[in-house]
Amino acid sequence: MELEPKERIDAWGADLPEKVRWDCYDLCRGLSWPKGVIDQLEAIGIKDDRLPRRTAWYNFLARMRKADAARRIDRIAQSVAEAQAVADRHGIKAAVFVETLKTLAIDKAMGGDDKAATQLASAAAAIWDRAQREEELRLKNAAQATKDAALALAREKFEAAEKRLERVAEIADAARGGKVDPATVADEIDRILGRKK
Amino acid sequence: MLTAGRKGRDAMDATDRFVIKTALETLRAAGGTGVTKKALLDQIDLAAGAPTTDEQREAAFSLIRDRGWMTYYYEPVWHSQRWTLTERGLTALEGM
Repeated sequence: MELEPKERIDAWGADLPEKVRWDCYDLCRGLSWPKGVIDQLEAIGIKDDRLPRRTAWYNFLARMRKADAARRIDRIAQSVAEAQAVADRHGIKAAVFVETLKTLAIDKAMGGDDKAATQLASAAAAIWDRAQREEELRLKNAAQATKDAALALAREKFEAAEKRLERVAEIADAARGGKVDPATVADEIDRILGRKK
Repeated sequence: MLTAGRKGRDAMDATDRFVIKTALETLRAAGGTGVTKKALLDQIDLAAGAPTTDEQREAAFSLIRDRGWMTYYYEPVWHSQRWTLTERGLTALEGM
């Protein structure tokens, strides 16, 4: 259902190029009639008999406000797509982070600032990249610490084995004289090897 | 434009319906992320063509909310209320 009547072809601004129409709207909407608006329109390059009358100007503003509402809807869709693309490009998996990106982008697009929306999304991606690098560094450090601990444990085990070997050698030297009972020697060796308490 | 206290189909003219439809389309575009109330009121103001009063904007906002066409959630990072389109809202929009 068509709720709004179509624009008249002889309405003021209907024959202007799209970009000029948006320039007129963006630059003049907050200005007072007639001085501010006429000065600004003349600065854009609309002069003399092309300048609007009061009613024609307010009709133009009303039409452009409605078009602006539609433009914002398009911008929201673009911003959401852009934020999602940034998240995908940088491999962002955290759902809250992606949603926050979208939230920022939508809020900026609703404010009419789609450039800022893209910048925010890129900034967020950069922050995410840095967080990722810090996380990688932390994991690397943790892996190094584990490796160091394993090395220290291996050294301890090796030293203990060497000590046991030396002790066994001492017992073997003592047993060579034949004065020590073989059963006592065997018991002593078992104790060193931990096979007997 | 809508005013508080006017209810039912008769209360809305073509402009009102256009404004409500634009607001619903905005909510649909924002998807699950939703929009803030301020942004939606701004959008209602723009869609009306001429500047609207606070009362008119609130009336349009209340109409959409009270019919269950939108609902809100608290955004987890800034804890602000964001409004999103409901299933009923989507059905209503498709019927417009």
